[in-house]
Amino acid sequence: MNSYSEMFEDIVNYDDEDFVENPEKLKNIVVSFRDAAGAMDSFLLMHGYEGNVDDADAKRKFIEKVFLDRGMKPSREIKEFYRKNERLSADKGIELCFAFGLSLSETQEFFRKILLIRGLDLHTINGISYYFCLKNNFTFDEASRIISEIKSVSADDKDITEIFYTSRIKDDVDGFKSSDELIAYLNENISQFKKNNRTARKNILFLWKDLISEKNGKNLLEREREILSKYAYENSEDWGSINLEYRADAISYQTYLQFFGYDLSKGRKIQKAFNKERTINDILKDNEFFRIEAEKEFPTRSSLINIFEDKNVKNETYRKWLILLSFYRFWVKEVVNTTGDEGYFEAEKDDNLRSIEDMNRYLIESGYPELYAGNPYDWFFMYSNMSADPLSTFRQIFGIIYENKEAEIDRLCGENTGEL
Amino acid sequence: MDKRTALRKETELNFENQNGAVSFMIDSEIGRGASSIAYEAYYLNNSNQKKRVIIKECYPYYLDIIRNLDGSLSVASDKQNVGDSQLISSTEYSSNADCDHSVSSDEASGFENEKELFRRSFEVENSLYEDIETNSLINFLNIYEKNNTVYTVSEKIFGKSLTKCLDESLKNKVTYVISTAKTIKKIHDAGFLYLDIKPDNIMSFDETPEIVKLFDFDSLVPMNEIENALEYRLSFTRGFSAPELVRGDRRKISKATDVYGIGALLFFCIFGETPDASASEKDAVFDFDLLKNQEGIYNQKLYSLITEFFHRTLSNYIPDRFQDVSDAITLLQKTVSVFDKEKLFLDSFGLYGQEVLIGREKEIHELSNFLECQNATSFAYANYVSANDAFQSNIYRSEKNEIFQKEPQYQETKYFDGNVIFLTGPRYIGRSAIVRFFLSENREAFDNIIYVNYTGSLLSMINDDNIFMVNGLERTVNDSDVAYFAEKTRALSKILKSENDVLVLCNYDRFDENLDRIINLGWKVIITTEEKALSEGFKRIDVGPLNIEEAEALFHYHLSRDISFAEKQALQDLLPEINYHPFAVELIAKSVKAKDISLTEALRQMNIEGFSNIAREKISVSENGKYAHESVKNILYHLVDSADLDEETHLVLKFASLFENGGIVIKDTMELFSLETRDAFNFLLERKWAYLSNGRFILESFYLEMARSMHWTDEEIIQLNAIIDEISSYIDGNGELYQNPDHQNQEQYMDHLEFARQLIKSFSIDEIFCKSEKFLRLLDTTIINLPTEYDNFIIEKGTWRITQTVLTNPSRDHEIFDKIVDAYLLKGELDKAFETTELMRKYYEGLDEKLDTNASKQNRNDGMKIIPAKLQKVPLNEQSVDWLMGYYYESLSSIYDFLVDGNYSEDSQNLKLLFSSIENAIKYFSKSNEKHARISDARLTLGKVNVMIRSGKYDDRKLMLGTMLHSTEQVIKKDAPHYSLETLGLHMVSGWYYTYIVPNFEKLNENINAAGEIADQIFAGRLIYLEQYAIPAANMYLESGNPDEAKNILNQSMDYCKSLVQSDSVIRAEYNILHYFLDCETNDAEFEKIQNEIQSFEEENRDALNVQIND
Repeated sequence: MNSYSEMFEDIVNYDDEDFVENPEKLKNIVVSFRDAAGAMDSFLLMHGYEGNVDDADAKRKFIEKVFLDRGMKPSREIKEFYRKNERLSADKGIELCFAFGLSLSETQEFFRKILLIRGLDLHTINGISYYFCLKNNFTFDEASRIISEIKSVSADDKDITEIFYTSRIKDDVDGFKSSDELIAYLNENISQFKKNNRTARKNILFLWKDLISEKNGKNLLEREREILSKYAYENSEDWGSINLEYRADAISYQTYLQFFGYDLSKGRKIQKAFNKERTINDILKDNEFFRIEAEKEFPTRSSLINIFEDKNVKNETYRKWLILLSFYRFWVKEVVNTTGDEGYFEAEKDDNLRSIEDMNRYLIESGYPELYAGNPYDWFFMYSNMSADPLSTFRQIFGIIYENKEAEIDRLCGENTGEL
Repeated sequence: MDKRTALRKETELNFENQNGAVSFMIDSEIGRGASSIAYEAYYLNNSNQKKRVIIKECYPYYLDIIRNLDGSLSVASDKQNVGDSQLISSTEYSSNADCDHSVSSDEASGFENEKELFRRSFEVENSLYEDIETNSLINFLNIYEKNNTVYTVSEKIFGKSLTKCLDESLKNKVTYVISTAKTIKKIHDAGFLYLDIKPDNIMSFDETPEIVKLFDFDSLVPMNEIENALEYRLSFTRGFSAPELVRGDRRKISKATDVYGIGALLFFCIFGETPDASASEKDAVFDFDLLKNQEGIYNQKLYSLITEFFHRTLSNYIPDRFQDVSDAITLLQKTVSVFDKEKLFLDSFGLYGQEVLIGREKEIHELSNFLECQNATSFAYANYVSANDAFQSNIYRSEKNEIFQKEPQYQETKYFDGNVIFLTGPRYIGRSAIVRFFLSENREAFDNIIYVNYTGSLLSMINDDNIFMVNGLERTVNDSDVAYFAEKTRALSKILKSENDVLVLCNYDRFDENLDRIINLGWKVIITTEEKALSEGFKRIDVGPLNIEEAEALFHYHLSRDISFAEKQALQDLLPEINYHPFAVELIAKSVKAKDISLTEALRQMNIEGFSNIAREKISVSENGKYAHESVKNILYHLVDSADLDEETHLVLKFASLFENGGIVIKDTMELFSLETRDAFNFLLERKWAYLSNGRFILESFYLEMARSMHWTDEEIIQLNAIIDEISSYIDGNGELYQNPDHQNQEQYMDHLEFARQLIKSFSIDEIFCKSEKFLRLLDTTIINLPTEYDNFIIEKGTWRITQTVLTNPSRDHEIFDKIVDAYLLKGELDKAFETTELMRKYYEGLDEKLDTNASKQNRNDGMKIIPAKLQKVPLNEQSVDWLMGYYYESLSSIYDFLVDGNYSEDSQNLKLLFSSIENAIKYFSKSNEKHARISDARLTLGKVNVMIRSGKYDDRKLMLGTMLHSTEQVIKKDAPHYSLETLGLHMVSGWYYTYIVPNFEKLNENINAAGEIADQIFAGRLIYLEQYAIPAANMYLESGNPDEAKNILNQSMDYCKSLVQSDSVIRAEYNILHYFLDCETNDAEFEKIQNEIQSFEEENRDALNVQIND
């Protein structure tokens, strides 16, 4: 596993002139990210598979044997994994971990580097049950039994007055010696598991509020907008309304586009081309400059608003928004405070590393693993971070992504003549 | 949950050591950690006294270990069957006799590992205890093996853990942390990392905060083994552990990891919670308000030191942290010395930053010299460059971290002796902004900065403990003002050091007897004031408007977008209008941005209604620390409201604001409002809110706008209305100058007209007021009596009058229509002139629907579009309406007369129409017997006679013409005053009669002289004198074969022009006169000379000859 991510960590340190001017190189890197099958191959090889890596049938049989030896039955998703080449979900992935007898830490690594998702989520019944069983060498069946003994969350359950953060839950669970203790604990505190990601939400709200807080009448987003319209883009009118409204519970399309360096005319074209809500997801799809894993739960306006409104949002959404906001906020503060002649900005010494550390801190504090170069989404930020002008580099990448879809967008715009 | 079973009370532990047996009695459990349970126990010494100790028992939490009956510990059986086993009771030991002691090898070896770590930990602790000072660590006395586990015995200390320190003083908290840090330093020096700094592991002592004791060394790790020795299990306590420790990243764990712990410890002690991600950012800001609320005020420097401490300990990025604990100790010790509450200190107060300062390099430089900021940056720059190359300029803007020094324009150093400096200049010019900017940028160079607004008494200000808080000093009820002032200033003189402490006194506006005392307390004093006189004897910086580059840059900064070339021109026109006043620049730029209009449009709007009316949208400004989000008008209103002006000054401001360009005459204004002194005027002049020009008091544009935002009180409106009435009456009464041959004061009359004109311009902005009866009366009389040269004003206001308001006096209203027509003719806009007459016609027709439409149709120009907006029917009888139509035809005739342009002999359509108009006018006027109608009839008959005479077609109709002249003469002599247009006209037409019809030089001369005498009277100082008298008179002389007489008149005309106020109209008139000279000149040489003169004149006056008169 290490050599794979190390490869991408090395690429993170490339001179950004290297492929920003040479988009093909970016494409090659994107392609290099392991797909689900590739990741699974490396896992199997490390856990006893000695057959032909290209023989999907042999690998499938190997996996099935491991399951059978453990007294477990592989699910259909696992059996068809190599045929579909889709990354396993958390629930199926954990079966593999039990089947292969992984320890708790190995399981966390498996989740992060093979499934590219958060590890075991201790704010869910399933997550706690699997964690407890792995830690105490219990079987998958035992975990399933525990889960089945937990009552459903009902409307009668009181709203929680105190949030159990992950550390508290972990401390509690670590002390249990028997499944019955765990079952009793979970049933008694069932309300805690209606919501998770409290810290992640808290951090996202903090980051957003800092972006929209005014200082001398202007917030960071406005100040950056002025710089962009003065120096970075020829037609400043394409930046749309100068007087945007900034709220703690909403984000405008223009502000959203600003993160990626798209002006309003681009945003409108995207919207018109795909007749969709104001998001850029449609240009990420089937884009050879963007991996599908990075596309999954890609930050959208509506998902951020859902976070603001404390609605149900997937873990990966939280994680990706944390990364985007902490990255953007760190660099936009630097940009607005230090942009000099003709809009030239250069990151201060060590700020690249500071930014990474800050981002990791937000992630870890929120219960997520730190940035991982092997994750295609994380990689964009890690790579951009190491350049002399990270925000510009990040936006250049997204510029390449847009250009790759531009012909299609133009074509669709021509076909879609209706009003937005 | 922790299900470990502790040893019961009174359990006896018997150990063997080198000295024999030793026995300890368990008293109680006092705590449990991840790998042990701690008990309080005692042993009996040789005197049979209980000696208390702490016993730690190796009993790992995460292993499945049970307590046997005999108190020993054993590892439980295989975990797979644990679901069937009994829970181990916490109140009794299980009977282990029948227990399955089969042990999973993992659990057993895990237990052995833990015991080994326990032993090692004891060895380390012991060696540390020997190596470093004994009062920093718990003394571990001995180690024993029993009960299948390991026990350590250590001294019991009587203190309390730092978790209980939250209610203690800040000083104590910092001292605890320093003590802890010193111990950690020693542990580092001994080659270990502690890695578990948290309040629970630190014991403090009430009387001696300098001493703390660390215990729990389970997490101790040798520095040189951290990466490799996996037997050293890295645990962490969330909230207190550095990120690298939480992640288990052994490569990055170092002394800096413990530095983080120290920072987290202080953070917890101060804020009662552990630091989160935001607290670990490089520019994290901490809210000390809660601390202030709980503990009172500390020296401001304390908070900046603590902030620096957190930045250097809690940083996520390890290199940003102190790499050695000793640096953290040094900074904390500095903190302690600053906040010693026993010492007197002054609480810094009031300074809020100024983010941007454009320009003001000279002022900053001088301030820097005064404050002798050698080490700190005197000022920070960033080049301001706009996208348009033309706007390159050396403008300087504050940047927080980046400092670019441009070549200073002021190389010479001006050293200031003395500790006081004044910054003078008008209000809102930016004096305070300069000071705030400089001080906030160089905050670190000063210990104390007090920034206050002068409130009228230095004694009250100093005595106010909310402003000048001297720690340790508080006013009692028995303290008189004077006594407390004396005490406080004494205390201040002890605290203050001139190079480090600054007082900023803003808006100091009067002599204060205590100023001397204040400025000699031992600090630097910066005083801002509008009153220059107060700065006499002190060093002074005069702050005036920005220069053009600075003003442009400031404008760009607030506008936040590029501007086009056309807008650039508009900007260059706009800035001088506001005299480069920085606040005006800001307000206008923000207005333009808020309304999203072009600069060209903004300039246009500003010229009509002032810059406060460019936009009604709200903008954000910060002035003197107060943030406002309001329209410009409201902002200006609040500014003037807060300026605390007296009533008279208010009144003068308001009144002066009505006269934008012309200003007011001080003496007249004093009379109008019964002001006894000039104090209000002098006040405003001294503060440069106004200036004097040609004897007129004129407000500077920014203060003019401020004044325009002021509300008029009811009393003031009554006064103003009275003035308007008086002006209207004066103009009305003196307008018909020929009614008053003794009317001498031409200048006074013109002054009144100008006054009225300015008032009208001002009031036109007020939509309600401008439709009041009084205003309309003033408007009517002004339009009617203004010289036609004010064509733009007459057209704009006159058109508004006739289309947007109600006309109620038809017999007078025609004068307004006439004036508008004349103005259009002066501008050469014939179409508009016709349109206006058509409006007049519709107005009069509208008064009675039974009017003869055929007659009106004949003279109507097709295609007229204008419909009067508000015409009210006046209940007149048909006869009244009829003669009013006469006015319509008379107006029409003036247009045709203009078109004929003196060519009466040519047979043209216009001449025919002229004739026909005159005839119609006469026809209608003759239908009435009213005096005005008769005079008008006579006037028009004169006009008809004039046309007939000059057409040359009626030369043989001497009798008829003579009879017509005679009859009109009768009417005019009877009904018209001597000094009137009608009488003048009579003499002029008679002149023509004696030129063309019955040539008689004597009679001609007689009539010209008579006309001249009347013209002198009624046209004095007006260009119409030339048109109505001088030029026609010269023409008559020329036509009658007397060129010399003609030239005389033309010479007099040139002199007359030169006596007038030079304007474009006058220049055009002079130009025309020169051409008339040509007509009179027969001598070739003279002719050529005149031609040359004309050429030179054209070159000198090219612009004027192409430009109309503007207001």
